[in-house]
Amino acid sequence: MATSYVLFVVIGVVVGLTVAPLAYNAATASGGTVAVVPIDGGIDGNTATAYTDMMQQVRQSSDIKAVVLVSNSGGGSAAASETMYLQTKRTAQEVPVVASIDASSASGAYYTIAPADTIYAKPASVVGSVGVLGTLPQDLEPNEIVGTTGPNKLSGGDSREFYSILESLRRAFVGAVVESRGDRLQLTAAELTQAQIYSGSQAVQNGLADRIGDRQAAIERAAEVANLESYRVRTLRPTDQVVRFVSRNNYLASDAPNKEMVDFEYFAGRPGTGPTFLMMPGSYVSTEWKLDAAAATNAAADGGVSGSGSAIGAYERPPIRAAAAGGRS
Amino acid sequence: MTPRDVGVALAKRLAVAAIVVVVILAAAFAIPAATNAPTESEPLSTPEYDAETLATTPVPAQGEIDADRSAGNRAGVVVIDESHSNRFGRADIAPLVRELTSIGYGVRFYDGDQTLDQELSNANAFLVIDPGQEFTRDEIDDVRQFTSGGGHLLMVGEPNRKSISASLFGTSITERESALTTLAARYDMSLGTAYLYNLETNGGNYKHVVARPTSASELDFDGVTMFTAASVNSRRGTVLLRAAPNTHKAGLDDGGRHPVAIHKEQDNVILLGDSSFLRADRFNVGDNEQFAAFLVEFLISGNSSGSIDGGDDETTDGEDGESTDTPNETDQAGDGSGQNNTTTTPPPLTPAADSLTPPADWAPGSVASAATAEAVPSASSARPVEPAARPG
Repeated sequence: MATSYVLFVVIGVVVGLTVAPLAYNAATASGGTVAVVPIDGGIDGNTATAYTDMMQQVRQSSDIKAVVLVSNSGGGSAAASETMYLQTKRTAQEVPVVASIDASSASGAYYTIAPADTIYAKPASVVGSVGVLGTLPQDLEPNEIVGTTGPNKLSGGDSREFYSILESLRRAFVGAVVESRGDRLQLTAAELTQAQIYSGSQAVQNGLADRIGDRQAAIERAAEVANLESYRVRTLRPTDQVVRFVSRNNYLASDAPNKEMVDFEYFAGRPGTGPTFLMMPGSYVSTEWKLDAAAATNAAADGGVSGSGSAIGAYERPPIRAAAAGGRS
Repeated sequence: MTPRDVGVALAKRLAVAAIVVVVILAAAFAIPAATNAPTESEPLSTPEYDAETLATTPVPAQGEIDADRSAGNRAGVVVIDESHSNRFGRADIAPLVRELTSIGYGVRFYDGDQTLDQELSNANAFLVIDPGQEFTRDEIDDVRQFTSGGGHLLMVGEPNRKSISASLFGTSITERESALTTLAARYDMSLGTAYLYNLETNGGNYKHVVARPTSASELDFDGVTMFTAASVNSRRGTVLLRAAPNTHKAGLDDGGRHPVAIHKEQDNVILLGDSSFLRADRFNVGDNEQFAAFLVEFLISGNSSGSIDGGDDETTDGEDGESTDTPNETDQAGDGSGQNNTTTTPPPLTPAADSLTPPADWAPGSVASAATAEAVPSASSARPVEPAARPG
């Protein structure tokens, strides 16, 4: 008799242990996942591609119910920033998107998070710099070495036409921020065009951000908007990408596994090598680049009679000066 | 079992196998198709990217300087200062020189080889562009005597600029300013140091300031586009051009309609806050060539004989020197120096700082040369960016 009881107990234990994980999972089941998407470092084509990929993951995953964008970026390429803005806007149509400004969200990075439902910032966060900067085209004339099919093929156009393009980009950027922030924005479009940088607390006052808080607050807010009583948090990261920073503050604040400091020229290209449109604060411009750009600009836009010599010499420098800060892995 | 029976049985089994294969393939296709979520569920609406609102067109650059030749005697001389480290190249003023010479005027560049009074002795006008060194007391006396005798003086300044230079000893930043202080002060005029900008109405960039003639100037064109200009001030005189409403001085919050060109008829002098609009690639942007024509007429109408052509030129800041001025456009230092109590402050034409609606005289379409920079691309405030057609 006893043997038969033992047999049944063993059977019970086996069956119980087999089913127990299901019961445990049922008890601990979450309503979904809050995805954390870092916006780290300068924004370039690689950043935009990785961001697009992560946003597509978010939209296609049935388990991801909300997104938190964590910004440690001062912007970058204009075209890449526009791509990221559109991706954020598209995602915000489908799932709640909340943003957390860590060290900074300036220029193109702010462009990227503008469509978020709620934007959190810390008092020391750097926010704003809504605008575009670009290297003016050089007044180049096709010569005996380089032939072109049209007078503007080499330079792209004169400086007045270039300014016209810059103005179009500015309108797009300012318009996107105005459209995204709506009535929450306390700044006029003209004030926004000043491209000023604000602290996090100033940003909450002027409506560029909504609340003071860190990324945890943003995650909780995202879960709340998505009606998640219990949720998992998962950080999405691009694979095998080295994140490049111009600003040391962003570098220190970011938890990107592979990161390095680079010179501003990484994003801007060498002065005089052609127009580049950047959505990045002018304060990130390195001294060397500023020197060259100033000289080049004088020559191109103001008809300056001096200053081109130093610019020509500077073109010989390598475009990227990898900084010694190194990367943590 | 006959071979025929075997064949039938085999065929049946093959048919069943084929049906099974078809079912499996159908399931393999149907199940993923049914379970795949659509990649994008709804189209993205981007009204903020409306191309009609975003696209801008540079202000047209057409036309030539066509000055009224009857303003001068066709045999005069205009002296252009090159002796005070003036920061311009001769190519920069080529359009102006071309028009002067086409009228028949000689253009001489003063390099300091002889005294200024000798150089100006038979000249009609003296043009001083962005000097890097102040005029000496003697030179100022010479110029003052020249203008008192009917000669015309055109001073063209620039706002202060920062210059970065590199050398073996490192880089240094120096600030350059138009050294017009002593000369202009002799005529109770002064040049602003900060550049002007306008974020709402401009020639395609915030530093490309659009200025319009004042009613007192009697100039008949729509707008001049200046490229990094300084404001100008004068104790007396007629404001020729004022910047668009809500123009700011760099670093200052309050905006206004700053004067950028002032004419003191009684002293035969004009002071401008920008020289770059005279450049070969800028002189015909918008209505610039019409203002340049006015300047050429001013230069050639100077009297080289030493006689006084205005009748009241010796008036030295007397209260009777404003007969040609209308009260509300006679400059009393434009930005509030308030030294002239005989005139009233111009009515504030500047809208509130947070308003993007221009006043009536800056209404849409009224400024042919302004590629307006409306910052909000919304239907309520966006203005056409295509400048109106203008005569070539």
